[in-house]
Amino acid sequence: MTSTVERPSLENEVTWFLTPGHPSRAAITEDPFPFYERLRDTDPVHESAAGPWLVTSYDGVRSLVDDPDWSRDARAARLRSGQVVDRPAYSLIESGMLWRDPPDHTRLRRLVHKAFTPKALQTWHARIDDIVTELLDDVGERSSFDFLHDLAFKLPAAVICQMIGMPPERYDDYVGWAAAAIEVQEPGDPQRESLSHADQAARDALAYFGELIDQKRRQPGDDILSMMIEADHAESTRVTDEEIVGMCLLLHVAGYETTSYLMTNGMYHLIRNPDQYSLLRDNPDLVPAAVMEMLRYDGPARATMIRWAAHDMPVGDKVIPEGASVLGIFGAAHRDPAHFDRPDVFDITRDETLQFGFGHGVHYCLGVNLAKMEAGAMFQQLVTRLPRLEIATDELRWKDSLVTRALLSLPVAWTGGRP
Amino acid sequence: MGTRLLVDTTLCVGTGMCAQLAPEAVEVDTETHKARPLADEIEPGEDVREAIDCCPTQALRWEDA
Repeated sequence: MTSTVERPSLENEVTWFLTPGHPSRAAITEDPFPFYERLRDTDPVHESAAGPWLVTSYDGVRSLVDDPDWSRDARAARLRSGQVVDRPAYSLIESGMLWRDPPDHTRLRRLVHKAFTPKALQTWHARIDDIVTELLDDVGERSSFDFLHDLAFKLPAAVICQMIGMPPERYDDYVGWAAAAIEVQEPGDPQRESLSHADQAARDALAYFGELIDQKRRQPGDDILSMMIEADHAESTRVTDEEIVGMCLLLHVAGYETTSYLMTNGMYHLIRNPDQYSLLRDNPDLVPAAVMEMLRYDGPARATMIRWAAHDMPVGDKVIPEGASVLGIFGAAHRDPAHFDRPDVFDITRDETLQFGFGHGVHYCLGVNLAKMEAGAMFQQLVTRLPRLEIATDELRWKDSLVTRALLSLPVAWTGGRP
Repeated sequence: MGTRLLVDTTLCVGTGMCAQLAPEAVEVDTETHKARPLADEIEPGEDVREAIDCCPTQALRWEDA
């Protein structure tokens, strides 16, 4: 028997999309693509009743990330709107470069960008390969495991902690502080309960890193924290301690969860597309292209970070007025049939240069080469050394978030039992 | 003999870091959002070197003119 269920209004779907925790949001959380398609087909530059404009066309989202006249200065935007929310949770993460415009953004990015050049990352290649080998040896001992928690979280976490110069025994605290920094970026009441927790996390992070910074000042190491402290000696890269801590949290948020979810969402779609999985196993040279297709098809960032119009900004056939906020939805842009042939097909042989899953413009991902290296090493070893994986559960759940597109876990088993 | 800065526009993603670091040598085109050298020959100073080394897509290089 078939039944016709009336589809909710577009404006209702928009509101649910923008409201994590909403009781009607489940369908959009699990599979947002029908909603993205509807919005892109109907109104690709949409003024929502709930707040930000939503842009879903490829050309529209591309213009948001390309054009430096879109501001990312969150603090300035709040001051403009008269919304004075001065709490540690906001000010700490917003001191990092993700929420700054040039020239402050340039100054902060300069503190760390030398650590992420292809040349500097060469020294990490062998180390990353070794970590992957260890992790895969470990899960190879078991017939089933959780791809997210046992593999995908562990690799980038180990790498970014070592790069920053963070002792491994404080690692769990670090994860907690970074999670609080992400909570701040979800929409909702700025007085909500979870923000008190985030405030405390920010205070704890400032206190802990304050001590670590003092220690590195006395005894510098070959790490990013020492690099930032050293940069403070040059006129063009002066930096406050709060900015250093904000940058540390940002590098963690950006360098850890995103890569974990890229690999996990990617593994999920590889398993669900056995022909592509076989193709990759037969042609491991396709790993870099496959990673980029994972990013396009169902990448870890649901949307661009919020941007504000510095003046009236034309997008598509609309004009977004000065001061208005806007979100570009990557998942919608990356399946825009105007730019992608068979956009809903997972195809690891696509032209990877069309997409912009690592962003574009001023805020283009600093860690792009590191993320590619980590995911590349993981899938390279997985498809060359080990049997196929299959999904070992009937119930998969996705994170209820506006910021992140992520499976909450991915139980998998080796096909044919333990390798 | 001078030095020439070259931009591979197929790689450039318009971060504009190069133009911020070496404004005398390179700018970002406001239409295409790609980097563009400002002169035929440039002074190969530290700032240009940093711009080349740190470009995340390695879209810049220099060569003897």
